Amino acid sequence: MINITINGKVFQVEEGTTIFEAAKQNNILIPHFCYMENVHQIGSCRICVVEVEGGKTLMASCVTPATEGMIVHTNSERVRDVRKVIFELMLSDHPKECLSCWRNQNCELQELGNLIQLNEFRYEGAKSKDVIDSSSPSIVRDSSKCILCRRCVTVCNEIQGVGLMNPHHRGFSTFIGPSEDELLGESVCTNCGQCVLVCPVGALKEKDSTVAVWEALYDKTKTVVVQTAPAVRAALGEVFLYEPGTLVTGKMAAALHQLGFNYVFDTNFAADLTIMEEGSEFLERVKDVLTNKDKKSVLPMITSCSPGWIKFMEHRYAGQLPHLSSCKSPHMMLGALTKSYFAEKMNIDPAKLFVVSVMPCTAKKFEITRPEMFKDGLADVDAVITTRELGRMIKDAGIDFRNLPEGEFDSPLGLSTGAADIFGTTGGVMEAALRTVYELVTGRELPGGTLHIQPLAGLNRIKTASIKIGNPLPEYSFLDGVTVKVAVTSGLRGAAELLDQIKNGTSPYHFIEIMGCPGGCISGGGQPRPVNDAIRTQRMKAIYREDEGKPVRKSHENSDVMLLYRDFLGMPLGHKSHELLHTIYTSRSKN
Amino acid sequence: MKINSFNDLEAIKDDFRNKEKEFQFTAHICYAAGCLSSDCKEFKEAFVNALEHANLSSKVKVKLTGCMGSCSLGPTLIINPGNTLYCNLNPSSASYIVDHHIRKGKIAEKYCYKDPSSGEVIPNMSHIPFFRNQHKIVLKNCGVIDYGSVEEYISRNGYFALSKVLTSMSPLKVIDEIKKSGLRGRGGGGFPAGLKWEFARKSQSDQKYIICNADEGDPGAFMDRSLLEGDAHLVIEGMLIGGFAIGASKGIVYIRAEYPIAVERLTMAIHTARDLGLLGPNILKSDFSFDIEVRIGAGAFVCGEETALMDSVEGKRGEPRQKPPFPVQNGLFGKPTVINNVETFGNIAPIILRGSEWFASIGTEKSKGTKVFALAGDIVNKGLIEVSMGVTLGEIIYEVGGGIPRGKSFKVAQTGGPSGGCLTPGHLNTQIDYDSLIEHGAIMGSGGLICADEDTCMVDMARFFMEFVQDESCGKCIPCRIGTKRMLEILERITRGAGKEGDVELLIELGNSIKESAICGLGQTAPNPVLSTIKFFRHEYDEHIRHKYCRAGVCSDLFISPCQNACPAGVNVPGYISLIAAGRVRDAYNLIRQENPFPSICGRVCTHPCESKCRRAQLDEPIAIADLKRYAADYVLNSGEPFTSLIFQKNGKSVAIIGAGPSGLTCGYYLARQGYTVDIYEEKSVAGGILAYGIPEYRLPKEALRKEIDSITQSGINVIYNSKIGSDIAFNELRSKYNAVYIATGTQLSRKIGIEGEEKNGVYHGLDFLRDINLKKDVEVKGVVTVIGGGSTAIDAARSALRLGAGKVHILYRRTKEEMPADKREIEDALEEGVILHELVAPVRFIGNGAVTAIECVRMKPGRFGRDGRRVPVIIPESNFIIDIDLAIPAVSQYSDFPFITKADVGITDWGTFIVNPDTQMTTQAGIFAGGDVARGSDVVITAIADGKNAAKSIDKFLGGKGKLNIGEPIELPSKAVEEGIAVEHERLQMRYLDLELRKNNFDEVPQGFHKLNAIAEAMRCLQCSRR
Amino acid sequence: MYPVSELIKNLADQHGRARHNLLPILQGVVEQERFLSEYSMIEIARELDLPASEVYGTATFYSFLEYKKMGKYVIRICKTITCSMKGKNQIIKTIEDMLKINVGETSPDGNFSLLQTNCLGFCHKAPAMLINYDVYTDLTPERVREILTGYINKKERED
Repeated sequence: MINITINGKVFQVEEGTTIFEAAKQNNILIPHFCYMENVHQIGSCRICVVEVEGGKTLMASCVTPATEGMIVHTNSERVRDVRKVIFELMLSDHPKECLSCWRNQNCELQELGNLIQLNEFRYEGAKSKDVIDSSSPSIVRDSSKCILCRRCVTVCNEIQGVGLMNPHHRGFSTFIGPSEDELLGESVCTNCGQCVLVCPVGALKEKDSTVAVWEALYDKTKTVVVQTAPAVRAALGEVFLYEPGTLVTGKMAAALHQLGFNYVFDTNFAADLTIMEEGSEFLERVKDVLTNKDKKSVLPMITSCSPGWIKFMEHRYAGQLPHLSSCKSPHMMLGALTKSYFAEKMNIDPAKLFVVSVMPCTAKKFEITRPEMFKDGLADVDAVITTRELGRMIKDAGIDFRNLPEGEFDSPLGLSTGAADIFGTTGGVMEAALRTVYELVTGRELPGGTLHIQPLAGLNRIKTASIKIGNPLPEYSFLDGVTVKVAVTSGLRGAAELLDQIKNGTSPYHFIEIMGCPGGCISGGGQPRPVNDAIRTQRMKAIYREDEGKPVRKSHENSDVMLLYRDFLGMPLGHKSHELLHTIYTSRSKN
Repeated sequence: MKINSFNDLEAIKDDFRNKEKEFQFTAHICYAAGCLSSDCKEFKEAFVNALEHANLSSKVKVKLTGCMGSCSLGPTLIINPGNTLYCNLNPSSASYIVDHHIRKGKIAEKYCYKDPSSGEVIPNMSHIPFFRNQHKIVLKNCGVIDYGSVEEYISRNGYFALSKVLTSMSPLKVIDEIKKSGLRGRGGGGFPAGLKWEFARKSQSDQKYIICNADEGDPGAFMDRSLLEGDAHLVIEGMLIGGFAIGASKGIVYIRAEYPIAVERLTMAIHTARDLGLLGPNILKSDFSFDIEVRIGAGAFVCGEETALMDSVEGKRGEPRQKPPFPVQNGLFGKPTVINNVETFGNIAPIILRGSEWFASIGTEKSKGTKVFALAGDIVNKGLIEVSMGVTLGEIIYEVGGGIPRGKSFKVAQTGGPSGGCLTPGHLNTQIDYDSLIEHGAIMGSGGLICADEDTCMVDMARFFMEFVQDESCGKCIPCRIGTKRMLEILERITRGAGKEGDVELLIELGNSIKESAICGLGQTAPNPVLSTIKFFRHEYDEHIRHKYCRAGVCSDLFISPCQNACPAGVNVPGYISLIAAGRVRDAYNLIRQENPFPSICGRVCTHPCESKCRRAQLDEPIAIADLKRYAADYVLNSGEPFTSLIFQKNGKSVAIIGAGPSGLTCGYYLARQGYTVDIYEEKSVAGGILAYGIPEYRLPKEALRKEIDSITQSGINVIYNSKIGSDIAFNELRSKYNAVYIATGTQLSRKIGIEGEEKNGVYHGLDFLRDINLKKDVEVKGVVTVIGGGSTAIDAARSALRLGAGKVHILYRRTKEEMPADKREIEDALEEGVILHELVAPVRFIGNGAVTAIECVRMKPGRFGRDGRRVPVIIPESNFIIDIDLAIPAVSQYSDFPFITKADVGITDWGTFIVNPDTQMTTQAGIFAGGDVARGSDVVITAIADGKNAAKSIDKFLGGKGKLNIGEPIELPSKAVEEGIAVEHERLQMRYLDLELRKNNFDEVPQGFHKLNAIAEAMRCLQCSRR
Repeated sequence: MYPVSELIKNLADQHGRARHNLLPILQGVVEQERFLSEYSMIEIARELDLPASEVYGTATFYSFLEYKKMGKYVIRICKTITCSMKGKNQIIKTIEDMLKINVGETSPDGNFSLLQTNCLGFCHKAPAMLINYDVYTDLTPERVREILTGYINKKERED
């Protein structure tokens, strides 16, 4: 421990603590901008400068380690004067059209403006950049608003390992993005939206789909169906100022009804369906690998629910594509079923159906544009809106969300089990799959009694577990004594690590769950801001609470899913399943 | 072959020296980049051929060396023994030198250095002032040894320090030695090198690095390049010793891509050292292993910043990060790293060999050793120098550097490049060391020293440096990325004439904020050039902003041409020159008159500041602007064509002007044209003031003056002669009678020099002397006359005395001839007429019973620099001597008296001049204006005219007008005065002059004016830079 | 395989494929090709297993790593203070007039590119310029015309 004096008071902090952290630990808040706890500390914006006695210049508190005996002033005249000038400079290269900016009142620059009052803009001059790239179906980049904090650079490189967002050129000409002539829509961008999530201003945003949804809602000839992903209900509340981790499933369903959606379905239904398909696929593959000499299947099998991750793999690990489960992601399955099973059942012309997915994800906006996601010229899903966009629509419609009565999902695609809920968090798909697979194989519930596989929960980058199969049912005797090894990762850096193992032939796993965003869908690129590890944990807990509160917690026990198989699909991996619920992948590698 | 021990080194040394002895001469040809660009290669070939041709090759060892420093003399050759320097060589000089020096053993004087001031030939290099005042430690071998010969490096004890370290010293002992030497980092910051090494030594790590920072990007700096080109092994040896001291096995030289020759030679030296086993494993059979890799920069100045440099070596964008942590803890690839600059490494081996005590005995208390500087800009001896810490800036500029070329005055020295600041004439006595430079707002920097003369605009210089850092900002932090851009934008608008009040304050605020908050050294120091120029040259910023005026004539948006800009009255010089060239002489005259009603007089007596800014001077000689003006005026005034008397409609307001000198007449002229009733009160019976009685007729004939004054008064001015304010009419009466008053009474009284005997008969003060001659008082002059002073009054007095019959005329001047304020042409004319000039002589006493019979004088020498940048002369003790004389004319300065006004009425300075607002010419009393010498002290005619004009504007404004002068109808200029294309060199065309014999004994005008054809030809020399 | 791919492969073999070898490889390509095409940057990225955007971001940071096609002769005029003081602008004007290109442009025949550069360290012999790796100093409009004529003739002889 060392002693540091901040604004006249002596504090003890751990060695290695930055001045910023030391102050924060002691309830002294230093205005800051580019800083992101534990993720991004490069001291580039200089808003957090403080005066360190004896120092020649002010120091950026976020990157300056506290040292023994250091005397710091966070609010002296010198500091405040300089901070103000820096803020003025920031604004001098920023279009001040707040009212037409989607981040209005939700902008960190505005927040700063609330702290640092300016009376006039004295340093107006040339603006450094003005490129708007809307080529991507998921993300729009408006460089004129970029203030070069480089948070997106850090997440895209360090966290996601995609390496698309980078600083280019230098000095006043510096810009952040893909290289000069490269468009997001034609790049290796995975559409994960993590950059959008951390962008403090309006420089990176999701491609807006609310207009299309409003239009559909107003179109009397359309039957508009909406489905919501498991992670949405754990975060939507934050838009309405609920504590992070508050579940708002019922209010959300009610709000969707009020918005005018004809049917409100739950993507979770399809999550259960996914488990059926994917679990079966896994068992088939294992069987093939273990018993068939001319085996065609490869292991490990990797989950395929996360479209950002899929695109990443198509770019970087095209050679490993056969490892991907052929299952579509749950919302695509539900979309496909809506336009087939549901349409048939309700006797609605599928062309008059408009399917909207509310997703925590920006990559889903891209996913629905994939040619494999169309059938007979009709898109499985017509529009994806993010949790944030839904929040905006609810507000826009004048719905008093907090005072809504609890609503419910509609049948027949609304019922789901706890296993589907946990799809929203890292480790959840694997756990849900194993709940079903283990039981299918052994006829017994997962051991432990909680149905949880503890090592697969949490925010660690790579999590692994192994389950020894003993005493299986006769048809699975080939699995007797086999220890099934599984791995789970979220965030594409971890994915790359696991894929490198596969590439090198050193992967010990049979089954891998990969979610593109760190923490899984709960902190997807479409979720409300801010997102940090504390908030991730809260949302994750909410997801598990939802699971634990459900009477049915195993996918194969979802009665509506069973009904679907009986009435429509036949059996998992059957002909219809293949037609509607499975897909193919395309190499995007330039090799 | 490998070198395994000290004995091996000794053997190479002996061998090399023995081989050298076989030659009678060694010829060192500078082969540094500077001389290479001056085609020294061709000279070398010619020289070698000449030797072969003369069959002398075996007598002469030819060496290709690194930089000798004297780059402006290149290509250069030194022949030893004798240390004879030949300079400015070309291939055709080779055989002459071979024949003379080598074959005949005689010095080929015509290629030797010639002192520009004395003209003396100085063959021996060490006697040349440029070399004499240097102290070489780092550059000891540079320019001496063959850059490609490691043997020669070894023969001069090269790698002996390495051997000493490896055989007899512990790393701690090495660090201790460097610490004790007091060596501070030569890259600019000045951090103690030994301390840095000690920190790195203490950092625990399996791998450490030594980096040599050769990313010398400061504008104006080329020390590192020269050292690497000339003596790369010295740097390698320094790195080796550093590696040994901190425990590093790997060294990296990060060098700029802009230095291809240095890269090539350094790489070669590293290969050689590796071949000899001086780099690589187990050096000199010790257990110390070390190797060096060269990394070439790719054009990013910021990579000179150490954290950015390391990122660049790691293959990334060279973006700095905040320190701490420092590289000694967390450096290249996260390992402890010492980064020193090239010159720092160059000091290591000498310190180890000769000991820290020796090193610490050189320099000042806190800055030890020497510093290498690169002299560039407006300085005579441009090149590379090494001087002891603690020499003064003045010594560097004037003694080593040879002063400022083309007779211009020193304005500023910029050190530390874009991170540095400026040193002004007031800093010439400042010692050059780390701390005193910082104290004065500059920094040592890596050693670039750019001199600039009076033609440098400080706002533009600040703009330049800001543009530079703006361009080179990495873009990571906001203060630097946006702040420097905004500062640049403000500076740009100021230089474009769009500056606003408050801009300077914005620059200061921004500058200080950037200094406080930028992430790295580049950003933190980026505002320095701006802040420093604001500190010392605030008035130039204000002039740009308020008056759209750039005194240096650089900011071209603010003026038509440099000459027009230099003219205090703002005459459209290129305009009238082009009219003369087109044969439209009357139009030319009228165009001059729009801004200056005294073309004839200014054509004769103006000090023509315009000519000193003439662009043509860069090609050959400036245009004879004043002479052409005189030509136009004479042409019109002598044509006999009457002026059309213009009657200007009266506006009902009246102005009184006191004094009918150039300032009063000008003011009255413009006010009358504006419709004011103008009364000029003149104490004497003639108009013209000092023009009438202070300038001898041989320079300004009465007739010319009369014609010009007539042309002015016919605008409707009423001159009331013989009317003295205070006695004939009370000042207060004027104030009540007129709407405004302009006081332009000039200076009438000669200042005393204040020495013993000044009151004696035979001491005749200059102004009185000239006035009495002009007013035709019977002035008798005979015998020996001694004039004291160096201004135009002194020269006028001397030449007048000569004309009145003096037997001998002396001028005593306490400074040198170059420093005389009088017009150069006048001085030369005076000398030609027989006036004897005594430079650096001052009188101390007038001797004589009753009348003066002699003056006791002392000899002076230039002493410390005064605030104005000139050296203050000091008396040489016991140098007294006596000159017998008959008449003494002190002509040192003049002053005004104001019998009609008291200090209580109007503010007066300590120097006895009116306090006026320079923008409006208004005194501290509303409605009372003053200008000319009475407001500024003794000055020249053209400034008096400018003041009069300025006063007319502000009086008009004061009285409710717009302040826009009625200068007359616009005059259309020739559409194309000169043919586009290349100007051919041609000296200026001369006016006719009265022959010496014809002019010596009378007051006839000496210059006789131009022939028409010559005038047109001279006008056609004008480059018309205003149109380019 | 394109020749540039081969070049990049050779450079990577020579320098190594670690991140810190990126700059020498970029420099090697520029030396041969006179600029870094998008294609070569992607190739380098592939060879070093780096994101292409990162290669681009690094390359564009450095002013000597041209990413626009350059002429056979790259003229770099020192833009630094002493050269400015000594008439750099007239030199640029002369070259612009002679080659009919502006600063930052390449002549249509692809022979000359005109750029400004930072201090060349020839402040004592200002103004200075580099043509490829050759230094020319103490420039006057006259001298520049001579030098360029030399290059133009040289080019013609070679053609």
